[in-house]
Amino acid sequence: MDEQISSDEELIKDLQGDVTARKAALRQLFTEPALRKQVIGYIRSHGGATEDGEDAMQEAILIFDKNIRANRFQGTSSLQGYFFGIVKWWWYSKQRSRVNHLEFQPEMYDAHEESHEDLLITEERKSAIRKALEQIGERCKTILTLWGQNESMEIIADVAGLRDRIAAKKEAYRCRERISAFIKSNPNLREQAGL
Amino acid sequence: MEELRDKLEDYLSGKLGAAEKKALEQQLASDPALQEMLRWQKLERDAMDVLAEDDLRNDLLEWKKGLPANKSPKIVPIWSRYTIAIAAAVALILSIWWWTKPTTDVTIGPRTAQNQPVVPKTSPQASIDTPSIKPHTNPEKPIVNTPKALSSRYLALAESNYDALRNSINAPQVRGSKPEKDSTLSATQILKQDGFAAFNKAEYKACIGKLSKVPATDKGYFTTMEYLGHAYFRTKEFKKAAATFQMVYEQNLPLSTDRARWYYLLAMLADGKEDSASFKTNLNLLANDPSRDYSQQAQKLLEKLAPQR
Repeated sequence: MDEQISSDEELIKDLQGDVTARKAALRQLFTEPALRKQVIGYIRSHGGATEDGEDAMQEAILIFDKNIRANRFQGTSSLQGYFFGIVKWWWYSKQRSRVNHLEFQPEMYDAHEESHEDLLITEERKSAIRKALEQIGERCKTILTLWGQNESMEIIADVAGLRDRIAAKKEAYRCRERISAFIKSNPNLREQAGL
Repeated sequence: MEELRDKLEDYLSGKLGAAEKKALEQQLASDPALQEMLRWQKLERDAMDVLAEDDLRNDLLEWKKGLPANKSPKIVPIWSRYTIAIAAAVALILSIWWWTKPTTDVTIGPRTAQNQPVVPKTSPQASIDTPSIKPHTNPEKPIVNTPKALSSRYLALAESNYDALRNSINAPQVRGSKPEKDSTLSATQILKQDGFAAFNKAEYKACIGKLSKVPATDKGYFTTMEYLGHAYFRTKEFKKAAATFQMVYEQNLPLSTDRARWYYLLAMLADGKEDSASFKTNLNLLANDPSRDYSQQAQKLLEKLAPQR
């Protein structure tokens, strides 16, 4: 098997695995000096400052993590290429919003890069969600954080002190329903959330 | 209803097969109630994403603190790190002696000449944690994981296990107290109030300063000690963290024993005491008894440690 494929597979497996494996892999990516240097170098050579490069690294990791967990990576490029595609897309989007949709230099963005727009949650919707999250209590937040990170229901049951995975799943759905119920009962939040 | 909810969940997470997806989309097109249900489920999933993102942002901030400032590292392709890790894992077989050598006894103190492992003289380049490492190509000198490299892997393993639940650890408020200083509180309660508040503000040194002064006669002493253990862990004082968690689990209190035992294990691992009899005994105790709290985490840790040894 090709070495690149093998190492990419290993990384995907970790990123889609339990919280421990996922965080170890993300930490390795995020703290990798060579990758940081490449990302910052790219941003600096495309009109940004070092701080923009740091931001790009952080935001790209967040999108990368979400995409991998959501099975969005199709394997048509290497993971490295995919990660860099996200960095380019993020920088392009940021620049586009800065220059207010004015002309954009084509060399700043490869039009073939995939858009990640649809996976992003608008700030307005996030704000409504955050208000609802304030209502559900720490226990529910912990359960949903773990579930959102693909942690198994067995582990969630363990952490939340529930009998088994079935009880954990029921509780997790109950927590989610509390979010919906709170937003449903508040027309302003409902509108903010785009519902 | 539950089945439909699970199906929508699979649809949203891209887990439905092509035929099922098409069928569901056809159903959705003609069923407004189902569309409404999907919209709310999408909102709930977005909420989970917001939580996961916030959690990861906290981690990124934490990890960023450990990065060297303004250093220009040598360029080594990131993706080769995994390849190197695989090569190193193979090489670990050659260093099996590390695991099979006689165990040292339980000591939460500095390694002495007696319990210090015999360190084979290998190149520091053998460490998988050194960014500038090049694959070792001399067949007569295979890559061997040095104890230093293993220690840093154990530290990473301990910290990633710890980080998995980091954000669920929040210190309580002292019962009956208000956020501001309350003149009716005793000196011990004030120490605890200030210590817990410092913990929740991530001011761990200040937290240690307060909680370490709480007298053992206090009613909630061992709960307080758990937070002190966490504060030590978060300031990387792993020896003290291990000693503190050990003191708690040795009390055999119904709710905290296994939890304290688990964090004792992580502190021992981070401190490079993975070879001690106490570490092995406690890890096996949790891993082999599914009725215990943290048993699954211990099993996973055991599995992860096995190939590294």
